[in-house]
Amino acid sequence: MTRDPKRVEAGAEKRFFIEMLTKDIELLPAIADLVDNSVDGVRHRAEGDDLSAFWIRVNASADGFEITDNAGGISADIARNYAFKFGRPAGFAGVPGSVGQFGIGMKRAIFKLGSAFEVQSSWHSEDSEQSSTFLIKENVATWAGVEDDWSFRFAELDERTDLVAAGQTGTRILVKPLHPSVSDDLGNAATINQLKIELSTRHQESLLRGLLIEVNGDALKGHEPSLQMAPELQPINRQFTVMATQGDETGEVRVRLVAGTVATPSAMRNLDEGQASNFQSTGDAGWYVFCNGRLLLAADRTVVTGWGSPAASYHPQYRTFRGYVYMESDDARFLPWNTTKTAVDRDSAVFREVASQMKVALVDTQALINRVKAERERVALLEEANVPDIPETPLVESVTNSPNVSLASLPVSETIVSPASATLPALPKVGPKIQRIQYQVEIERYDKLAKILEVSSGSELGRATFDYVWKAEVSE
Amino acid sequence: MTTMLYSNRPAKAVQRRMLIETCRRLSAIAPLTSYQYVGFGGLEFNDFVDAHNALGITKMTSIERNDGLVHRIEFNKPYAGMTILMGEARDQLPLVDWRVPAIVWLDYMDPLSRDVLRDVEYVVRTASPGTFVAVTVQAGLGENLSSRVQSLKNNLDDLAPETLATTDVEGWGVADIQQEILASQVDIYSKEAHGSTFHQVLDIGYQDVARMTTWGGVISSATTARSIEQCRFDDLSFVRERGRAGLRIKVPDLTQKEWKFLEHAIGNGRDPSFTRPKGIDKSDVAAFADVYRYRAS
Repeated sequence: MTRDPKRVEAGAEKRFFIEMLTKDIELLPAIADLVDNSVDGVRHRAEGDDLSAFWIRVNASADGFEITDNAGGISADIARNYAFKFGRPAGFAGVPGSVGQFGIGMKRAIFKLGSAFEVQSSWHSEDSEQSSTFLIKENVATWAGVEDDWSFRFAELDERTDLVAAGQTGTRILVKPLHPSVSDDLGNAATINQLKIELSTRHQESLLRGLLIEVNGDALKGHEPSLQMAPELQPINRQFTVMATQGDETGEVRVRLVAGTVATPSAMRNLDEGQASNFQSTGDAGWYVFCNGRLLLAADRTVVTGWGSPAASYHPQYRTFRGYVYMESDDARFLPWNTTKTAVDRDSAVFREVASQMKVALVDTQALINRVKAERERVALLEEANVPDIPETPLVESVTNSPNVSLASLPVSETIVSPASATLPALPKVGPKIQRIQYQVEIERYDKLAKILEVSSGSELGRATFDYVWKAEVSE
Repeated sequence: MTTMLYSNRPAKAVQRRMLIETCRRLSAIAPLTSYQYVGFGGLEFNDFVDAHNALGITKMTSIERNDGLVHRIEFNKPYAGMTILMGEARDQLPLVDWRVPAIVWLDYMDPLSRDVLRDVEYVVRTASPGTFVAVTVQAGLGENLSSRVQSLKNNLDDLAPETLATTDVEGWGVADIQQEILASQVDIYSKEAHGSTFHQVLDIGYQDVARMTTWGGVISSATTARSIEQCRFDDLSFVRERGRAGLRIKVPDLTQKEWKFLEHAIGNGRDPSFTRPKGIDKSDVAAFADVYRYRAS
């Protein structure tokens, strides 16, 4: 075969490509990517908010890694043309409301984990009798050794109609054997625990909607965010849309912003700020930002979300602050996240607009906390000074006693609603502190000086001598 | 947030009149009676009286940090219906209803600092477009030039210019630096929150006890930009939009008789610098021409 002499090789070496692809991602985020794909599938398949018909099971040990789901499966056609390609072709429509948009998560995770894998999937069309099952089984080292052919092969393939029942669709990914370091990590209970925490925070919204995610047989629990609420005390709970542009296209990002305070355990109430911080974890305070249900920022207390400017920097007195931002878009490209979908893209116009509202909401909530603190301290001083008839302080009462209510039950409120500050009496004026002085002198010396200073008693003389020295040495 | 009497501060009164004159123009955006006024009224409330008498505003909020003044404030406040918020501005500003367009005057005695900027940032991000925001800060920072440089850096840390020479802080130098920081920061806040840069209108430097500056303008957005143009702020001689050197005013020390004479000269269309009474400096006549229409009566 004669080669075109003008052709210049610029292709990628597979091993180099695998290394590039996997070097910047850590093990847990790589696994989380696989779970994200399953969650995407579930959210796409689900009708309405209830996800309780769906499950995702993760089994990870030193021997291997496996993830199975009943999230609808991958069609042989999608597998053949798109699912295993690196990067999404321009014509690919994508999955509405999904987080996977760059088409690298699955391969990257597989390469990160081990040296051989299987992907098995059963699929049935949602609107026709079309169905398929397939199995891909590859050894990464063997695949990487073959130059110029980037394709995988189906080890099994069946594309008959009504092959599987619509309820029995799903995907199983097995990676085995694992790379030695990954095997060490996944054999460690601490890593598995980390994985559970990572997945339950990241997918708390889907878990709350009923999705079952199991890690090594343990079902993860969604932690339901809640904020203090009472008729007279309402957190900010507003919804708005932001228009986003990508090239020539315009899309809508729907935003829900909730910010307020959580109730502190009653045992903490009577401690001062410094003491209380020793007992209560402040780790949960801050902003939580979600894009299409996935948590991108957790307990954020950095300047990105307004801490330090325009709001005050974090201090334990703000440990009751919680803020939640949910951004949703039918087209994941319009959401403000980075390419690995692990963090917000703080330069995006959408995020800047949303962050501006977050910053204001943070100042609003801090102001509430500060007003309560000031009033509480003032009452304490008044009580200490035994001032009678100290008025009621409905603001302090409300923030001290209002219970937490789940976000889903909060009424819409553009601003924080709270009782007005009480008009408290002024603190009584305290006179200057007094120091008593006493000294003894011989009577002759006393008489002599009393005559000179024209005083007739010991206390007068004491006073006069002090004033004399004061005048000479201190005042002009 | 001050207790000093206005009558001892003629330049302060002049810039207040200029600010009120500017705010009359806001009627191209919305009827002035639909605006609210938010300020730090102190004990005198001169700006509140002007906002009511000159602009017809009735919804007013004054913020006061010194809670020892609560009884005197209640006695001195000019209108029973106005709201008094006692406490730090940063904790009280969130209690204002920012859905109502506002004229906000953050009138500090302190130099520009991170704390001042935080209040300004909050207001600019929260208030609705069409809101007028003015910020008064001290621009003196003491006698010693190198300590002025140090104070600027202490107050503004990384917002202060990297290289600052003592020659940069001579005269009105501190004012110029502070205004530039304020203007560029506010542009950032405004762009993020409202999609448009801030429409600067005022940059007035004045001196009574210390050098002070009042800087301000209108929060703009795509939908209000046109009506802000219609305000025609630049018809006013003292207006300084972004990019122009600041106006630095001085109220010349003249007797009643000299003042009247110069007023008549200008009123009759004569150039007062030619007909000035003997012994009066030309620069005082120029200063007079800038301010005479806005002198406190």
